Amino acid sequence: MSADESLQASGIGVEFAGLKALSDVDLELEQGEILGLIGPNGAGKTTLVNVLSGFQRPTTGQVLIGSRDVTGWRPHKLALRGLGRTFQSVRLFARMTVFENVLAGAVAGGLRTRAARDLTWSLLERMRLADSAALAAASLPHGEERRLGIIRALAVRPKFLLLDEPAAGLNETETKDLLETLSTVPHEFELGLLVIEHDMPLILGLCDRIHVLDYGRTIAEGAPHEVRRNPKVIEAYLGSAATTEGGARADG
Amino acid sequence: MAAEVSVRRSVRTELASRVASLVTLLALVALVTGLASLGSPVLQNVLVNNLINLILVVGLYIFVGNTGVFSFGHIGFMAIGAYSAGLVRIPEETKVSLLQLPPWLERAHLTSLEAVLLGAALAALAAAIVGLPLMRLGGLTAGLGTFAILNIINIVAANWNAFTGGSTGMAGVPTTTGITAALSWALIAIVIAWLFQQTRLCLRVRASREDEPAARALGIKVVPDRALAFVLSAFVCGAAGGLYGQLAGSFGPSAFFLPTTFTVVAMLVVGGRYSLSGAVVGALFLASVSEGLRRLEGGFHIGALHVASRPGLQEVGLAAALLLTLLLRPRGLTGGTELSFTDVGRLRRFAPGRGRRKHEESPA
Amino acid sequence: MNLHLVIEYVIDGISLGSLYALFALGIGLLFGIMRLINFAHGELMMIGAYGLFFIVSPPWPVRIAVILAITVAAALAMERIAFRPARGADPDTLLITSFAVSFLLQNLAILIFGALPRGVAISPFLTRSVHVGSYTIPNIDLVTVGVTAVLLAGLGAFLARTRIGVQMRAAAENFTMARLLGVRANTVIASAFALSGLLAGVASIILVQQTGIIGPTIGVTPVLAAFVATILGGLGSLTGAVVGGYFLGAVTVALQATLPLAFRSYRDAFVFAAVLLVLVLRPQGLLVHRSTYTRV
Repeated sequence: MSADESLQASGIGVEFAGLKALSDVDLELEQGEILGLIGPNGAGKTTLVNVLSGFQRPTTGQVLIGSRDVTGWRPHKLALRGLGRTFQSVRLFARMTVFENVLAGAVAGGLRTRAARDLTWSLLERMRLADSAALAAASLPHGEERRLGIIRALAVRPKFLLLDEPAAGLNETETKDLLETLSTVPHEFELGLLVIEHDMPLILGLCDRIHVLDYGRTIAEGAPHEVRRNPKVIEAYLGSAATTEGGARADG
Repeated sequence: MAAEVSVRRSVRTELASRVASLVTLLALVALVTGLASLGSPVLQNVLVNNLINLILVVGLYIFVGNTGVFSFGHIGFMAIGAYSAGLVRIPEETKVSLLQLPPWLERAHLTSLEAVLLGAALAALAAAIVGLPLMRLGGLTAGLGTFAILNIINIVAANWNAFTGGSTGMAGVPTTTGITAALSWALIAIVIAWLFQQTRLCLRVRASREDEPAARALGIKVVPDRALAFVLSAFVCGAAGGLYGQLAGSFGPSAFFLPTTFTVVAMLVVGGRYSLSGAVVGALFLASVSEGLRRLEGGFHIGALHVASRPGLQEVGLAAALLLTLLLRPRGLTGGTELSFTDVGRLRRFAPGRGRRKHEESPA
Repeated sequence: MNLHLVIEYVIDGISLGSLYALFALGIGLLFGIMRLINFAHGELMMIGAYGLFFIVSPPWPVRIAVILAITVAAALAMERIAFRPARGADPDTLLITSFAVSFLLQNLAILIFGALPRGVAISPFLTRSVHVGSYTIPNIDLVTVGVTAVLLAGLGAFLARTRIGVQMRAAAENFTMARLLGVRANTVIASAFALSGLLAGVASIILVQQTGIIGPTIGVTPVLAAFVATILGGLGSLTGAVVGGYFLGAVTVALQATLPLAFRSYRDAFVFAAVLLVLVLRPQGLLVHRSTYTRV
């Protein structure tokens, strides 16, 4: 078992055609913790996750895993180095079965067939998807789709997992379930979890720390109860067009 | 607990059903071969030709079906197989008079089986060389690249007079490919394709086919994986070429260019390019259609009307069949499912339903 | 190296590059708008070539007009009959469809006209050359370069200034958005096909005047060159298609000039192999036109 590492981003800036999507963002994620990444729509959350996961080359800044500079590394190389992610649009392997989706992750993580199949089963059971194992992934209802995306990424056994809006489109019960499931993941799988979310109760209930972006910049960072009362955060949510239920609650 | 045990059982029965599907295909091919072998010598010749086509289609499927990248170049690998087999099977005296080969090659002589294996191996080698660069091109572009490969091989075959006989081609290859050889290799090809589908490599390849960014995010190395699938499929097509060379006895570069490419592509697409059953069904189905059209080409009667002989009808008919399939049932006859004798009367849906996939916005 | 010879080769290269650019544009146009790589573009040229063969008596301007009308009509028919029903299918299905159309047309031509190639009389004017100083420039080269330049300028103006042209560019950028903004899909797609038919017609006339041969399969090599040129320039970019065409022309002439005599007949094989090598180093093409990272 290798020693715990941290994922560190410093001075990240991303610019397209004159537009600054991210400016001077620093972020750190440790194995075993849950970090929430929030901010109004367009704040740059997905862009930041894209930078961390190799889908977007930063214009400036550095990304480190442990002491290794991984800036500009492509997604598959980062995955092999222990970094996984899910997607806002889930991106399941539609024509493959639920089982094969997770198995693909296990296999990609280097396991041989027997071990991969065992891991796949245990993950399916944990996420209560075992009954759907033989179904085509595309036939899953929305909530189960998202859970599948998460365990597919977990099957690779990453050290860091970035979740891009895992609760999007889920109803209140499903969100609660997700919260319960996710809260034990970092400890059980020994990984650092980063969660992008709009759903405030989920974030406040789940995360050890929260990082807030607005217009591509970090405006606050710290424990949930501090961030919640931070005037800059409140203004960012009130002032923006986003009328998420969580936004209304943030200042209450 | 009981639920999960029953689901585990259902996934294990999934393996059993995959084996059942393999057995179904093998039996189907053997049955059709058995029936046709009772026919006239002409029909038997058609049979062997189409068994070779079936091997080509299965070879093409190994790559196209699993990676989702379309290839127009695989007949080039067939050419390599055929010419290689020719070089080691043509009797020495004929070689000396037809070609200008180095002495060791003039003397080289192998058995018919060894010739086929040599052809397959050289085709695989060629695929290994061009495969990695090609796969870096990605999706659509790689498909166009394979078309360029087909043309390159065609140009070389047509001009390298010393080794290939140029545009006249080779002659004098002992015609040893019979029904037994062709059928055996057809069954072997199907088994190879099936075995490939059980591997982890194939799972990774199919994942990249479904969603490339998601596959990359899992750590799957798309390019090398695809290149390996490419090499295996070239091996099978090379074997088909080796068999073909020893069937036709004489051949030129035109045997390995557009008409053959089209035939094989049509067979795969009409049958259904997303499943192994599709490859086999397509080959058998279009072989029959083609044979029917061939008989019509000689001229036929509709009542009192006599339609004069029209060579070229086969190709037009084939093209029409392919177009109809693409427009009416793009997923092919099998629609992405695998056939199995266990589902008589009911096609089990492997894919979530018919209909075309909407094309995506991402650049090619 | 003989400067004189080099300059003549450069002229050859520009002329060939112009022809390849015309081929490539025909492909690039349709790909940009509907993600369709049209194998059958070669057959549009084949149709134009047969038109040239059968329509001999009228004076040149009329002949040209008629042939262009034929190729445009053929392109529109192709769109209506074969591609409209397939609209919305994934690019692979479209590619195979175009391959099927191409094969069908080639074999229809064989069925109707027979497989053998036939000779076509080349205009005497084009076989002559112009003498500029100590250089001899074949008229056909001048015409090719000139016509291409005019067409490129015209196409550029059309896309930038006319209503349909702007709509086409919008559709190429983002088809769904363009439709939401009121751009009619049928009009834009039909216009694109018409344009590609026009390009095919012009290219076929020049090609036939260069080679003097027509036949059912004369569209195959041009369409291959078009593919290679478009990939070189970067799929999806019109400027890229043109640049790719000129680059391909340059490489072809360079190889023609430098290959030892024994290898001359393999020239095209070397050209394509060289291009594939370039693509190994730059898989996105010579002009990197969009972000090379996938949007997720």
